[in-house]
Amino acid sequence: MNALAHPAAPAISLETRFGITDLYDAYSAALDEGRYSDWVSFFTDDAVYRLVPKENYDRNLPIAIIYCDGKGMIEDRAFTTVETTIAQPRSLRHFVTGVAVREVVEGGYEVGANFLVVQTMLDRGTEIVMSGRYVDRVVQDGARFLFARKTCVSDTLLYPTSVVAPV
Amino acid sequence: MQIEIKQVDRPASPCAAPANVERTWPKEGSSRIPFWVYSDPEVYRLEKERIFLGPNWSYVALECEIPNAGDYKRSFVGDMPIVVVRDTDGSVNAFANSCAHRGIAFCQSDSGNTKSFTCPYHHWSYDLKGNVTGLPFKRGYKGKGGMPKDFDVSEHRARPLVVTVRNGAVFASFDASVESFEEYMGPNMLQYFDRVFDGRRLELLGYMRQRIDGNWKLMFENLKDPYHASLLHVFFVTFGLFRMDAKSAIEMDDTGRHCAMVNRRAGALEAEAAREMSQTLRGDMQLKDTRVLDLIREFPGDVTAVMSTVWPNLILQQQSNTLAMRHIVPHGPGQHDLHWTFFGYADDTPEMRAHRIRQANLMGPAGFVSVDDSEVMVMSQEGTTPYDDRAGIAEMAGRTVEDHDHTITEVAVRGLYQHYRKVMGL
Repeated sequence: MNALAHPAAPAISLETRFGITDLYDAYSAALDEGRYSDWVSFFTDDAVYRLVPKENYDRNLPIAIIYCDGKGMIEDRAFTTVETTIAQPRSLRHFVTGVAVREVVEGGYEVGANFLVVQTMLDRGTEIVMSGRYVDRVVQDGARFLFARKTCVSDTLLYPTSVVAPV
Repeated sequence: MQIEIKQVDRPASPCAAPANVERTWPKEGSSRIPFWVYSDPEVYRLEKERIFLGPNWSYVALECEIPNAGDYKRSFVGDMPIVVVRDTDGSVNAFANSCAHRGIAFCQSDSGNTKSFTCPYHHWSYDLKGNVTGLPFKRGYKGKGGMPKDFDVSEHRARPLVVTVRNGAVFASFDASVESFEEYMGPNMLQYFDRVFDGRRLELLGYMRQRIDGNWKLMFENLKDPYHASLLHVFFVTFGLFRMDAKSAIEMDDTGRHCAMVNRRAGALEAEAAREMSQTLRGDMQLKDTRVLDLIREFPGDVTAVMSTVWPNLILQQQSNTLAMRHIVPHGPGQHDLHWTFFGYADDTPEMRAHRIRQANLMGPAGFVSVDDSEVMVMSQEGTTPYDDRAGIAEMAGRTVEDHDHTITEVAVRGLYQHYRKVMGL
């Protein structure tokens, strides 16, 4: 038990709390550094990844900007991002704040966090690609924490030109 | 060898020449595209007047987005915001999202259901046809204020559009003299349209939107240019969804403004085609999960993709089992928005529905294929705007306009600009 936790927070150990925070930090670092094969390693084999505009999420419309049903599709997204997509060169950077365990559920944790993704290109100032919220299920696999479900709900509806990589 | 560049003394320049908005199309004709069409604000102004306010059917909505009386959605014709609404008698109305009073875009929700609209600024109210039904203090208060005695509310309304609906797709025009949708499309383009819109009820699957820093015509002509598809799109070529050596066609209506790119999936690759596409083709690549490539036969014949461009603002996408309306919304000469509306049929099996959602990975702002296009359009804008004294070349497979039974052609780009020049008087 964590005696320092806010009374409203679910009862989880500090170890778990840090383990989950570390997962988000390592996840963002892999994306920022363009290590997309490492990005794949943060998911369980049957994980579902979705990047979905808020308008679809709120209205229960099923279409996602990126949808991976299982680790095979997550690997394919990593592979196409690096190998087949033709895009202007850029740096991408993720700012993830307010990582919080919302609920302890059977076999895992419901976790939420805010994200902001910015990009910097040769002839443009640094600009916002999107802001939004992660609505995730995190599970413990031995000593590691992994995403069993990652739903990136993007407040941004009108993306600047393209979304060239997962968030 | 080095070339020495010497500076030459120049006399001080007198005042700059007056801005010249008179533009002359290159003498070679529609196989050359002057770069000023992508950046000149005067050309953009004329496009608005002649094309988006002119007698053309612009795509504005799907009926399945507004199934019930009072259902509405915001939409656009050109860059002009409109409201599309289902009336109590089941018909579909469209009118400007711009208050008759002072021009406020009074409808701010993207969609919803209502009995009437009220402008938030001075509370002028509207019925579902866009007629002004009332305004506060029309007769003033205690004898003071109020509109002039001869002010007739019935003479004021949100600017109306004429509307046509064909098998679930809604089109609108500010110019009531527009011909019927069937005449507008012509028989061949209409049959490609009806291939997807065959009368079955549609199901809305969701939206994607992106703002692309390129002229709107770059998006429209991209879908008339199959020449690029086998070269730019590594994913398409590598996984055989679109290849220049596949049996295909490019067909237009009589004017050249609409077009259908008709494709079949590629079979065994011949050495000559492989050589031409060598920079694109990656024979060593494999997907871990190939479900995204699955093709479930649902349309008659062996054609696997038809991308129709419907002048002036619609790309109707049928690639394998992913269906979408791509709605072009220009934003000045250097920018446009692309609004994607994905759909299926109400009678789809759960497996087909799941497949369409999975296959949407090909398309949209993060699509395996379509990212390449939006990125290239920005590069086009970067390379054409500063060189607006130059012209592009669209001479692949000739300099004339006719249907072709292959995709190594820019014929439909020529068809587009042949029509464009006529409409624009250029």
